[in-house]
Amino acid sequence: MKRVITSTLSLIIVFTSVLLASGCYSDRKASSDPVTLTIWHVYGAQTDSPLNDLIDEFNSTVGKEEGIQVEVTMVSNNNSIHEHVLASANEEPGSSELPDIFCSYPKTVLALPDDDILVDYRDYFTDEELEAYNENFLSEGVIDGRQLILPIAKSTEVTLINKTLFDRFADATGAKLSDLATWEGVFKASEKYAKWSGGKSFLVHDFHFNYFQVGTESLGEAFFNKTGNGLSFGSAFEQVWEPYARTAILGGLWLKGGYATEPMRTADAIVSVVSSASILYYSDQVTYSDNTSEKVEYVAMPAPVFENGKKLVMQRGGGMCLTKSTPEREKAAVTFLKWLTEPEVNTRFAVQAGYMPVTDEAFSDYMPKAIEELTDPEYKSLYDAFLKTYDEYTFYNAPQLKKYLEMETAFEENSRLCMADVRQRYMESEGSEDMNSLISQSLDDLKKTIGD
Amino acid sequence: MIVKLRRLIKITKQSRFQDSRIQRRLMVYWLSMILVILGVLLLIFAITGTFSASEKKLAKELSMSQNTFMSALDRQMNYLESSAIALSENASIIIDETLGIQSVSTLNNDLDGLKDLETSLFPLVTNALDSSQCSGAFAILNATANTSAPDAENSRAGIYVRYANLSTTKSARQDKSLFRGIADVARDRSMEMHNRWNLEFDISLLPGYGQLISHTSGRLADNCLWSGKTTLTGTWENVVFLTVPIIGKNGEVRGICGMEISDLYFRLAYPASEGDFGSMVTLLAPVSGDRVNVANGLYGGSKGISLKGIQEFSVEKRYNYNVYTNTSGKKVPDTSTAGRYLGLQQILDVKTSEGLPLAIFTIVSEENYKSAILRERIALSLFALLYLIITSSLCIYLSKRFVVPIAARLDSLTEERDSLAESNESAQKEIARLAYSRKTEVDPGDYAQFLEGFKMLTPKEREIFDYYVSGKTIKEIQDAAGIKESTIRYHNRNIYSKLGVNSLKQLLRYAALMKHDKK
Repeated sequence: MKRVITSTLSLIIVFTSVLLASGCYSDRKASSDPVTLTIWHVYGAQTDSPLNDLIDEFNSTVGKEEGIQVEVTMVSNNNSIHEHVLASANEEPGSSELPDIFCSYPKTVLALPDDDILVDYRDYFTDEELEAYNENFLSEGVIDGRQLILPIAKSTEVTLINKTLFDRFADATGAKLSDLATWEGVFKASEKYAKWSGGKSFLVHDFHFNYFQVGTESLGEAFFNKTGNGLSFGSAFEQVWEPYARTAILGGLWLKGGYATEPMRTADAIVSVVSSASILYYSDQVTYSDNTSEKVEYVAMPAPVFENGKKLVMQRGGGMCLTKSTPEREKAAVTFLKWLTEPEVNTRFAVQAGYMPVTDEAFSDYMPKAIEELTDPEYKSLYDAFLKTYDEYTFYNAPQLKKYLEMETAFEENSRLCMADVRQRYMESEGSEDMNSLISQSLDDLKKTIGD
Repeated sequence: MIVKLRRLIKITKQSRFQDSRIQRRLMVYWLSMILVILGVLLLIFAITGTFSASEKKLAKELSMSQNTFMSALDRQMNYLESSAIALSENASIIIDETLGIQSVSTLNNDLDGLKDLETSLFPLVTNALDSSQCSGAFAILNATANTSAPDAENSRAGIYVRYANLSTTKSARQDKSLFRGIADVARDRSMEMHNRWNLEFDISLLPGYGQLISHTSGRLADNCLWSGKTTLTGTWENVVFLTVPIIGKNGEVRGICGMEISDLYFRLAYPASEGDFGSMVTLLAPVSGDRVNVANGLYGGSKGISLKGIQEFSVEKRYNYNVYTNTSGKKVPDTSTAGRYLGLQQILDVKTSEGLPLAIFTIVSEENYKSAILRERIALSLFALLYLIITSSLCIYLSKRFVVPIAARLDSLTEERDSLAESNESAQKEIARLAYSRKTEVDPGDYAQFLEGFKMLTPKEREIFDYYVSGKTIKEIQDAAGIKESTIRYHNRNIYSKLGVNSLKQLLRYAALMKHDKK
């Protein structure tokens, strides 16, 4: 009897073990409860998003194996994400929960009520892993000694020109593309274009604040005052302001809000100084107010510099912040970010979106081949300009100031208004008002509105 | 096994002649055996899933989720229809004020007229967007800025405003952008233009436009049309449109207006609910017979189940729920490699531009369901196994502790009995032989006195007589009867006297003879 019971029990145990093993295996494979991460990012906004495509790829490959699913719950621009992050972090009524991962510049982290809500990447990356990233890009994400932002792609400012319309203008006036290498050349061409086109804008800058910041610094003067709470408004600033305001008064500078793509889309401007990543948002046709459209070609050049200034250009492209949650979620998010910054994936992503990859290996081993393989002439032109910028320019990183965003927003809005106001006066006077006094007036107005 | 069982039954039968303690122990052992058998049955049932109530539980969860979803979506769609009708009526008033009884076609090639009208329609459209649960709102005029432009027959002026950065539907911070319309209308109001802005609508991409423009009759409520999912050109977003005609006082259809629900909006508005069988995903899609056009539908938050890439489901109706199989033949990049889903569906009472009924679905991945069942079976099996191990251990213990000693004792008793029976038989034979051989040696008078005297023995004397007959010595009788030797000897004298014997040997001989005679 004993033998019978023992045998039966052994059989049962073996059978149940097999069942358990198959159950565990099946359970692991099924990933019935994957970790679902949410992400807010800026790569693509309202257009086809290359990051969304990569996220789909991750979800169906590595994510599927590891039980991680990344869900995009916002694709927007940095300012909008900044506002949403702050609203969520401050638990404002109507705000949503912070996502696991969000795009951010240091200014957003600095504006958080408590940056302890963010993960220090050093907790999840080894020193060796972090060393693989470009040192300059990585250091930009260090805040109070903690690695709170992980770079995933970096951009810089470039000049994007509607070559089709510029050529038409050049044919008529003798202007040359090479004129656009310096700000002096740009302003001259702007004035010429305004006259030639009957007052239409020639130039649009995505961020006036960046023009003045980089321009002032390139002339050897500090843009921000010593307290970091205001602007210095020194002689170099005035030197930068004068031609910009003059162009605005003459109508050569686009002064309405929104991104540079907007007037470029309607041919209300033909030259833009923008982030290289803007290429995603440019359409290869312009539409006129009578609903006729025209196919156009864009070319890129390094951003203009002042003839007597240093070749300085704004480094752009934020990084990814990771919200503290559970070790399981944080680890899953890091798995995704590590995958995204693997040299091959990162290069593929960067080249699709008008960025540069962030690891040295990607830059040296993958990037040249990826650029060679580009077939779109606009992207080819962009990356030529990009590489020239890397070779010839010094990159300028905006300082980490608590009030940076506040100053940027105020300057952006008020500088437009001040210049638009004097432009209006100039138009109303039919060009009789003294240009120099209008320029001085606009600068005084700016100083009054945002303080010095 | 059967032999062992028979033996156990035999032992149990034999135990009836034993004391009650043995019987009780055997009963406990039998009980433990029953518990083991129950354990085995429990394990078999657990492994085969006989006891599982998963199917009913799934049906209940699906039903609850479906009811919640149905109620919310029905309310939203009703509300959107009423908002679209209000937008149509207000737009109609504005257009009538501008055009009077003139046809809307008088706006063709009239850039200023179109700009004025779009400027007037702009606040209506943005208000409709602000006050409705949707991701975009629009009003289209049946006129174009340039009838000579290429593809002018498909180009129509109007205003289309969309949320620029949807995060969650409850968020109050929703930036808007102008997707279609005259750029200056947006610029004058500091509204950004969409990255894929265009001046006019391409009505060839707008489901139901031709239908509403040419076949409208009856009340506006009867002309609310829902479209299947459409990709907004150049963007990553897909939307479902609700469209209503704008009918002027002159009876002319001036254009159409309505709202859109984007797939992102839908995902945020209807997040996946977590059940015992994984995420339950909601789907809004057209149905045609036993086919669900998933590619033309919107689905809610997925949490690991992705319906992306699935074109079509075939439906197999079952008692508790339906089985939806991906029949699109495309690789499905989701966690459900089998591409089969379980769920419920309900047809919505709305009109669609494609003419197909629109249904809402709540589904779970069959793979997740099976995993959940497997987990349940494993848990039950483990419980049953544990139970079986405990009862089997008890059974083995009882077997060792009780059954084995009882069986050994019964075996020894059986052997003893057989041996006794054998010796008893030989003793009887010897007695008979002696009785027979000695009968002639016995004095009949003494034997008769013995028989007479035997009747006169007192009970105590009789007891002692019996002890002697059974072969006990005085010492043994002393112990057995609990009386002193002197007392026994006193009784002996009386016994001898009454029986008329002189020795124990004579007493035993006459006793044997008496027994023999009685037989």
